[in-house]
Amino acid sequence: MLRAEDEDASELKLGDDFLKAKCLMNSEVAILLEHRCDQMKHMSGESMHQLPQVLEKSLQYVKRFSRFTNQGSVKQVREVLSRYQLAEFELAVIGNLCPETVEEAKAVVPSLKTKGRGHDDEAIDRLLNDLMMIKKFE
Amino acid sequence: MSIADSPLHSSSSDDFVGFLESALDSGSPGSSPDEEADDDSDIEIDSNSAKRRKVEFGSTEEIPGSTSEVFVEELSEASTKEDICTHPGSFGDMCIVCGQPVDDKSSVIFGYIHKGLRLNNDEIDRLRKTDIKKSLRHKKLYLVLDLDHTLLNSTHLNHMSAEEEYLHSQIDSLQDVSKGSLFRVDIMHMMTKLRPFVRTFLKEASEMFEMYIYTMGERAYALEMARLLDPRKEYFGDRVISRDDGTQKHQKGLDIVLGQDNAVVILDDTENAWTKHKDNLILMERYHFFSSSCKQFGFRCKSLSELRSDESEPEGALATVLEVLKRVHNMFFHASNTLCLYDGKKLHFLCLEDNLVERDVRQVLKTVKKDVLKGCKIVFSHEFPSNVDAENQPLWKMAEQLGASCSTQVDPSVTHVVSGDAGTEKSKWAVKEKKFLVNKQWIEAANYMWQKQAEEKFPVKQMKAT
Amino acid sequence: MFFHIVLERNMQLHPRHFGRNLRENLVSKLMKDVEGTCSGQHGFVVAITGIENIGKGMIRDGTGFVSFPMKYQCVVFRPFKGEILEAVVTMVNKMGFFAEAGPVQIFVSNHLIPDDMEFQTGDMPNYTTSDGSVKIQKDSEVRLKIIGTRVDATEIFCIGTIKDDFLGVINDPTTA
Repeated sequence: MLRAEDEDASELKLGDDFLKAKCLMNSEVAILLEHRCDQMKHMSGESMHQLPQVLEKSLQYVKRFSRFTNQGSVKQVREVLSRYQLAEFELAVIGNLCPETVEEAKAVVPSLKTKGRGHDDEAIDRLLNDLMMIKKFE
Repeated sequence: MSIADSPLHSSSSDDFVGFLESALDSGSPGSSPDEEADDDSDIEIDSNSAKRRKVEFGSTEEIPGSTSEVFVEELSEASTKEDICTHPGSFGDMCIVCGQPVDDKSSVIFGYIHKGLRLNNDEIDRLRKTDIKKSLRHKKLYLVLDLDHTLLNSTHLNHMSAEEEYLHSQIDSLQDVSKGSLFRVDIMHMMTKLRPFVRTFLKEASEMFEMYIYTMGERAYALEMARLLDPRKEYFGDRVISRDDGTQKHQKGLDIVLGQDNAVVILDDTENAWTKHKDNLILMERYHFFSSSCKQFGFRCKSLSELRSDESEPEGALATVLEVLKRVHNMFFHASNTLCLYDGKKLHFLCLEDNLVERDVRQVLKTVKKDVLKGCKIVFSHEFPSNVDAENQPLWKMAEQLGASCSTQVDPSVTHVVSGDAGTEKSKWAVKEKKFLVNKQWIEAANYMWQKQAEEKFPVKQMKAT
Repeated sequence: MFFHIVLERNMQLHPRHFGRNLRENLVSKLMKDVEGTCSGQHGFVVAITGIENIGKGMIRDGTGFVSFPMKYQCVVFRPFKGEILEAVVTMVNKMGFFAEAGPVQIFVSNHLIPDDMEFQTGDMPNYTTSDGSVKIQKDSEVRLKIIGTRVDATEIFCIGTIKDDFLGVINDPTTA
């Protein structure tokens, strides 16, 4: 197993456990957790006034930092980004931060710069445009 | 016994699986090999432990093939850039600068800021140096305030006397604490009375000082009291230090205060808590409002609460000490802003603005204090046992710190005779020579009030059968 | 980063909870036991989202309890070194600032705040650029890079930095 010190998300070194795990964008987590909370409220009726802390804090967080709120566009973001040969982790970071320029995209997802990945600036630019279109028509 | 084949579609979590799959379009995990885990011998089962094992990942999506190759390349060139970091502090046992794990048990824990935060001495020095420059620019010093008997008085509800029962009908609302002064904090089973004048005191002191609370009470109590004193968090912020945060038992220390020692003033009623910082301390007269507090300190008299009375607002201890603080602050910043130095040839004007950092509030405190009994010459009559050195007695020292000169012999320059008995020879001499004859509380009161007291308030009685 | 993963756990249940509601009892016990927990390997288990499979129960010798291996899907939150994420500032002081990304606490020391931002005390302490155009205070939203993570039994601590391109304030609460 990868030692904690050797982890480095900028190089996609996430350790075996997470290397192939499905990453979720904040917008997706928001949908999941809201559904889960509704369910809990429904199950426990009025008796539950407070959500468990980790769930509550996570929900507040993803609601605050979701770039897309409409379920259709959330799904579309994943579909669109999936066309660009991205690792799960990269896809989610881009979906979360919605960088506006190629330079910014490469700064927040440094692994895009890795040689031989086929992510030239032109491809990244196209990707960002696609993303912006979804946002625009949300 | 197997329930793997009983689907129980009524389960709410099943609905959710469906929802997930449609909402997220996630790769169906249904294809995963069904472990008919009768007993997987390497799974340790312990009903007490929260140990759990990951079995596999839900996703069937693959990372593009190229990425996994990249990993291998990248791994080999990792750990090349290794800056030398001094690890000035840690948070959660990681260096606050480089993020590497550190194990530094010699550094100081700043638990009142965050329980996982530690700083080493060099870093504390650095922060203090940067901070003091800024503080001085804003004409601010640091003020460390004790809670109990200094800013307020608290009692356990169970310790209230019958004569204090009436207080329960007089408590102020906890909704808007900014106007009240008597609170019942039910979660702590306490009643708290804020000292008269405390709101004005905090407001005015905050303009001259960056303020800390420092109490020997526990953390929860400290935070609750801070909330009563400073509901809008405008005075103390996160600078609330409790017993749990100190680095030494039964002691308070400035080591966890991010202010340089030479710019810190402390208000506390307990001198012994500050053995290392006596010169920074302004000793406060204790505020005893509740009967339990009087009892705790051995007073048999009725408490203020039982007398349905209180300390005076305009003349109480906090109003008095605020005036002292103003004087100290003023002297620190404004006393001779420029200094003339004649080196034999030329006159130099030194602007002290730059040298403010060098100034020492402890010296200022001493100077202000020395003004209190300036010009007084005191003779003590039968105040000390004959077999001890009078010069080493606390009362003698106190008088000297207040600027008086002390003597064992009467002579025409003497102004005051301090005595417990009007019948002693020196007392009689004082009356005959028209000198002031006062009891020792005249000195103690001056020490608390930082002001010479009217002598007639401290008369000396004739003792019977001397 | 949030992940959707499958985990396994052996759940022990006393036979008095068996019967028609066996599965529901197992699921609700699992949720109670697992949600909100924290481990170095997986981070915070935020919510169980589905049950993949419940294996055959095994009677535990001598106790009467029966142990069921359960496989479940869940959302976990696990920050990584090198990850760039957004967080809410919770406290600002001389040493730097604390921020929260969901249940995770992040400290950004003043060493890792750009040099042109200076600490200002007051009732709303903040870090501000000399021209006043950028301000970090309580409730500000910041984009930061994680440079260290550590997990203990109940919490995850991170060290973060905003001293790099495209990091820093993304939303100033005073102008929002």
